[in-house]
Amino acid sequence: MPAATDAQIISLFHERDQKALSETQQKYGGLCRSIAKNILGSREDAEECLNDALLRLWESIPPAKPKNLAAYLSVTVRNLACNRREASRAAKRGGGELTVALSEIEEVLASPERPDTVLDTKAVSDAINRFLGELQPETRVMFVLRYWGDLTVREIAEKCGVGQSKVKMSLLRTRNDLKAFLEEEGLR
Amino acid sequence: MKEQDYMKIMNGLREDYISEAVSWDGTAQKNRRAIRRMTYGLGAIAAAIAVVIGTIGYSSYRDHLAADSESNPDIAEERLNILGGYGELHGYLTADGRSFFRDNSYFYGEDVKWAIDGSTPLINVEGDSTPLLLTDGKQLYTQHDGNVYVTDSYGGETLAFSLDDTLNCVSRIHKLPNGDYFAIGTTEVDTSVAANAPEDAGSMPHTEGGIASVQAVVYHMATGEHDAIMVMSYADPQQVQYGFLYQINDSLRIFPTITEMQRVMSGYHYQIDDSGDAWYFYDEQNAHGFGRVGFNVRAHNEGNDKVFRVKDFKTEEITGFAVHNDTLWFERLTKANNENGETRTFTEFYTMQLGDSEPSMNYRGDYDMAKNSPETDYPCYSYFGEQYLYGVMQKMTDSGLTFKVMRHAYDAFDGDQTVFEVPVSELYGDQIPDRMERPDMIFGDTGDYLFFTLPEEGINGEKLVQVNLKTGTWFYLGMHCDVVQTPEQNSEMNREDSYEGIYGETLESGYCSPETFPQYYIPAENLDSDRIDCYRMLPFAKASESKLDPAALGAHLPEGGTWSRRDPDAPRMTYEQAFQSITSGGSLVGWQMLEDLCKLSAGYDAEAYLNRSDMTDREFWLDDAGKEFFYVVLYGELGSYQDFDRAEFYFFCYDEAKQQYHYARLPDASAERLSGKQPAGTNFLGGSGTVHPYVTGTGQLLFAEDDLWYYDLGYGQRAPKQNDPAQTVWEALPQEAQNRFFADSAGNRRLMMDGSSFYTQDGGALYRLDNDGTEHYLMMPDEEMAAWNRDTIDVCRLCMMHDDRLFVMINGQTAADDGDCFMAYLVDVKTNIVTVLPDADVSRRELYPYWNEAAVTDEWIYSVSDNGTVLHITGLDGSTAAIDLAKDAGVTLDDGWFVGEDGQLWYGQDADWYHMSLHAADENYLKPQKDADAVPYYYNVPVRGATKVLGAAQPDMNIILCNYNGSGAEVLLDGTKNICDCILGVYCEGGVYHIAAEIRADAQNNPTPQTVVITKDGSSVSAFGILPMPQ
Repeated sequence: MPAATDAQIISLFHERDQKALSETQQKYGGLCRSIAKNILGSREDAEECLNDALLRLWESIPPAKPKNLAAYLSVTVRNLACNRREASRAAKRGGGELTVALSEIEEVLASPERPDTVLDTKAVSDAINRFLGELQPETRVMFVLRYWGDLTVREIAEKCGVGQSKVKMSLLRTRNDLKAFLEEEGLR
Repeated sequence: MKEQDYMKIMNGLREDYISEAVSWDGTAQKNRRAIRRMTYGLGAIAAAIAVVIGTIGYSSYRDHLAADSESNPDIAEERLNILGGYGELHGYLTADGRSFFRDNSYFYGEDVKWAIDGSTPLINVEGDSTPLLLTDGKQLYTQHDGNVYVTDSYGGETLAFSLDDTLNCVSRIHKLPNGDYFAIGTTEVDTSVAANAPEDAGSMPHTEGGIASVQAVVYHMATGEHDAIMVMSYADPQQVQYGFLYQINDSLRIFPTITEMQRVMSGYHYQIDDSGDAWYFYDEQNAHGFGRVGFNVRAHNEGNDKVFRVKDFKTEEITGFAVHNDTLWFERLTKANNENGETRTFTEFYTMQLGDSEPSMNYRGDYDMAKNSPETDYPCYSYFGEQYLYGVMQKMTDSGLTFKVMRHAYDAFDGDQTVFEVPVSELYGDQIPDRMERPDMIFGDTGDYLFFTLPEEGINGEKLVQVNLKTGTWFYLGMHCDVVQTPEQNSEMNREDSYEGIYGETLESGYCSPETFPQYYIPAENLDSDRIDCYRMLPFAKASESKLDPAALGAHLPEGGTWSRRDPDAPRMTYEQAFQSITSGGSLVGWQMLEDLCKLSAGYDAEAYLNRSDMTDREFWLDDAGKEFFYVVLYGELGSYQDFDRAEFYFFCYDEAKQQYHYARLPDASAERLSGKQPAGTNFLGGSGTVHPYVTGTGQLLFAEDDLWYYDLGYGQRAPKQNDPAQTVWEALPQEAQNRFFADSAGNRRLMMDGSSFYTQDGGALYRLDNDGTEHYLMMPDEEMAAWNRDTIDVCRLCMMHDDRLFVMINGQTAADDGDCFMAYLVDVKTNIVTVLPDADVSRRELYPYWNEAAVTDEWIYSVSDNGTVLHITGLDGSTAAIDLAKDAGVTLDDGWFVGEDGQLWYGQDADWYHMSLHAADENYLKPQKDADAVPYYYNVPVRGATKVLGAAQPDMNIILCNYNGSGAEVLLDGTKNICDCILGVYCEGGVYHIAAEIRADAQNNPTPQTVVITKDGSSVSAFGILPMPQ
């Protein structure tokens, strides 16, 4: 049976119908698990995170009526995952795709030659937003999925309906362009 | 860079980029639906800004709806209506002419909706992309693209009339008996061109740049022509209100006869009577007038031929009116003495034939204002006029300390029906509103339900009351208040006792266990308890683990389905059938067990459900109410559906008396076994302790041992270690292990190892095995395997590099069955990231068969191709190099070649062995060097990490342990007595070597080989022989 539309799912939430949760999980569970797992590095933690997020949805809808259910859920999942990761960092946990993604882009965002420079994260975020605004949508989507969503190349390829090689190449070029852009902006 | 900084940066990405990314549908981008969706999105945003723009979005919304219905027959069957709910929409008018609707589940107001049964609070839908829907009580109307349409519940539209320039937005509409339309809405006028405007017209409020938004009435004739009048009022600096009546034609002009009509705003109303005629009412300093909006009849004042006055009469404090059968009904407040001679304020209802000279009072209400209000001239606690519904007046009073709503049929003067009554204090506590009158107060009446907004919001956020007119029950609704109250519960109802109060905090602080019940809550305080209580999501009923015997209950499972049944008429399978399928169905992988379960029912289309990639749990309801259900949860690594390799099965049963669920898990032993695990303490081969693989030079898994058994995995047999060696005979592996690892009909190996870990392949997937049998899916290069027939995949070679990168060599057939496929890749076992290795510069068919015999070290993968004349070297990063081996003609690589830990490539056979250094920069040095002193090896088993080679040397067929170059050789088995046929593998741990081999004590007379395990611990060498399995 085809997945329910967002409007239908939100309607189910408002009706307090538990199908809302299963439908949400069915439709966006894969994406959100990937985001959470790639941040937390643990399937169990990811599952827990997703369920926490579903609980948040259950409690917030209604009255909330998100315009974009996928974004609403994935942002919730990511925030929960980041919080959980931060909390678990003290316990020497971590790893996961976030570490891999960070290792890819770390050198782009901050110059290794200036380790003493205090990173202005807000300025870098703003610059990235401007940079992303100039990109083709698909390129931008791949970048966001990789470095915001911490999805693997394979997961991005699946979501975008393209080959992994295209994703890798796109990310590589985008990173290089971003690096140049940040240099022009004086941020690295 | 600190990880927190990275997360902060990425948290700062724009929300629309994130929305775009997470909503991205790569496939949909390739077709025109994407365009439709984007239009829909734009329309949805615009709808929140302006109705007119929003109507553009509605077109797309309708398309979207239609598209969903086309592509989703289930939705079409459920008939999703244009307001986003299900079922036919029915339109009603509130007492003041506003539209509201209901479908199967909801009432819909202008910007709000709520569940008819009170199960939701008021839900704000302002800005939703659903259309601005209107009704005249008979038809449904939408407006977009400058037109008004008659619509059905599902978006099927026909044009009613064009708005042209008359109105920007229609708020009320009526179809008249003659086919014409009467519409009320707003339009914009340029007041700067208004002739005869007062000198201070510049002080007009709500005017910007001379443009004012004004109310307008438009009469659209069936012929397509239209006329319109507009009404505008404003207050001058002396707060004297003025009103204007305009006519739309080519230009605006003022009708000066009513330009100084005071209080026009409070009294200028329109009504439609039963025959569809439009009436207006105005108040000219309490000299009330009623007129018919006829448009083509005589003017009631000079210059206005669109509205004519029917009746003027003098009264005071009129609060509303209704017209029915040429009878005017209106209400006024008056002061009079009661029977005790006390002055009181009464509500009086009058009727007046429009031809009569004076109205007559027909009813006097009982509200005693003086007694109940500190202000004897308290203006108005009751409504008539606009609170007039289908021949019934709705009256709200504050009688004593009771808040009361009554219904009164306009032609039945002798009594009210109280439909709602609560103490005022209950709604407002000590904060009784100064004025309960509210201009925007709304009454709605559907015949079975009455609802009305409260004069002021209650202390708990109550905004609306809905009354079931048949049962007399009612409840409050608010944006943040979904408290259900009935008269019976009213006095006892404590907010803390509400559903929200009972379960809200529990749920909020509860803990959702992903391992047991992903869809259920387990309160935190129960986490450490042996007896776990959890809460099912709905109806928030407690669930406790109990000793249930589902079979004894005679439970029947529905015809497939998940949360609801698909075919209510189909037969159901029994619990016993399901249990049999689960426990004895032969499938040991979670998703397969679930699939088997679904397929049990004839006619169930399992594919429709089971192709879902991220489904992790299912409920099989045994009844329609979900009071008994069978719960299946799948576990596994993320990825495709087939990755869910473990399953657990539960049975839930609702206990009506205790109002909670009981659940029971299937017997542990079954569940453990079914979920891929062996009973505690048992390893995946059914033995005890860690299973140690014996390494072979070519990566084959032939021999293993654990604490109790030796395993001949080439033949699927085992032998006890503790028996007298002379009596020890091979026996078949337990059936479960046989089924799991040796029953591949395609002839593929099911059990493999990389030297330290075990792996299994099943259904085209590769898993790493824990000692207890738990499988961990290892990612495969799915994209590159798109053209493969997954059923034919055979994993040829596995070898771990650096303890985290697994080299995998696979082959198979194309899906079109037109050739062989080969591929080699690395999978990071920690991240499951796959790196496909390059093909090198030779054809796959030449290269990959040799890769089957690849030598793998921690850093490099060596393979030969082109008939052994080129050595290809592939690094972990995918870099490649090739070495021409043809320089030394006559030397070929053969079985058993290897690369030692010292970087020496060894190859040869019989007595001729060569080696060369692969680390040398000088190509000349790559010329193979024949090792004249080397011990000739026939079977070579490199023992990684120990730089040793075990060989069986011809012609004596000894078993020898030595260094790579043959130095330090120690004969462990003298081939003169026992000929070594084959070395099955080596296992080295803690400096102790275990060598398994097949030997023949008398090669001439005893052709059947015997297995022997030689153990070398320092200088001590022992052997354990195992007799062949009896034929």
